[in-house]
Amino acid sequence: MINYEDLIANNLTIQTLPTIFTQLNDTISNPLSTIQDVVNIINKDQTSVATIIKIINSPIYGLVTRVDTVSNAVFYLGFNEVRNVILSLSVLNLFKNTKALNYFNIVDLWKHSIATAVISRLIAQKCRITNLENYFIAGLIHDIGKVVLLNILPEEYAKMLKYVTDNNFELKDVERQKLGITHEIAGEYLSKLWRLPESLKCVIKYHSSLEFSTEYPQLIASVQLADILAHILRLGNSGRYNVPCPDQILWEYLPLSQGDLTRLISEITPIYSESISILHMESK
Amino acid sequence: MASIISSECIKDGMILHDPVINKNGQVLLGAGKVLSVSFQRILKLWGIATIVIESDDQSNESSKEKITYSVEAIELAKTIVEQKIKWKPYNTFEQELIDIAISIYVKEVA
Repeated sequence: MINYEDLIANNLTIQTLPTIFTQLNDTISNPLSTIQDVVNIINKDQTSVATIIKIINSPIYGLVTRVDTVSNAVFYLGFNEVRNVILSLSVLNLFKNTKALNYFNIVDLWKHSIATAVISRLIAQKCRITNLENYFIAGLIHDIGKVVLLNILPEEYAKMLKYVTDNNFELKDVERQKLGITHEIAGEYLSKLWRLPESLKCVIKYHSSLEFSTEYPQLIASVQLADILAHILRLGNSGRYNVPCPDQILWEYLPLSQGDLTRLISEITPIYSESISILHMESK
Repeated sequence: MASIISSECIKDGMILHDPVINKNGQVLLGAGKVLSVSFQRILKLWGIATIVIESDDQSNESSKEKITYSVEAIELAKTIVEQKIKWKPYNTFEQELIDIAISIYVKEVA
């Protein structure tokens, strides 16, 4: 029996997050912290600053005002979302550092994740959810367990994804049968290792089984629907051929009107294309 | 020829090419039915996001949103979508997702 938790913890590519993220986490969770404390941590890393500013000014966030400094970024997006932008860069680096494989192209999964991130935020906007924090990063990180499995079992998992796609099988069933673990559980192990916020842990674990989650249902529902739309629009490749089935409970959490989904489709492509281009450059 | 249009784009005088069928297979409106703007509201209430209309009719030309495809292309797109979406729609939103998928595939197979 393979101990996946140990395998993940001991994998050099995936085991650590940059110090800046850990420091930010500690500072943000401290009630005595000020904006200046957060700004000082980010400003120490000038490479990150330029990237963060660029992403925050991109269509992903659709800010009306141009943001030029970290303190402005914190002012407009809040502590958590600025930390999420930094986490996004780490997630994208994990994709980048995953070795090229014969049977599966990691770039396709990277594109699928960005599509899910963009759509998830657009869904939240369409549902008039006031706090849009976490929607982009939640979409981006939902399938991180697949990246984990592609790092710890590269050939075996890549072959399995191709087998699932070629035969139009259910991914979770094959994962359980062949590996004894699903990508959701692999992702959960990583989220513990990285000490991710509870909301993201829940998205990673329950994005395809919303009915089992007791917390953050609206966030998870948005990611699940975004995942479905990314499959329908064929933006990237998640490693499965068929479109995931929506949980019946999904529609209870998203106050959409008839026709909203059709209208959403035309908004997705321009933001997705621009996000791909910006994040591609920034994760180089 | 036939066109898939959004139910919100129905104009007076358009003619249904395909019957409008609900998720239980019941025919709500038969092929050949002459539509009017008031059907926009009725179809919305029924949760029907798109319909297939006759496209060579003079009365359709005012609709800028219409896209014209052959019946064969629409049928082929539906077949592809059935392979990709293995679940059955349980509500109007899920039907809308399927309609979106059909409208995407029909552009490719046309």
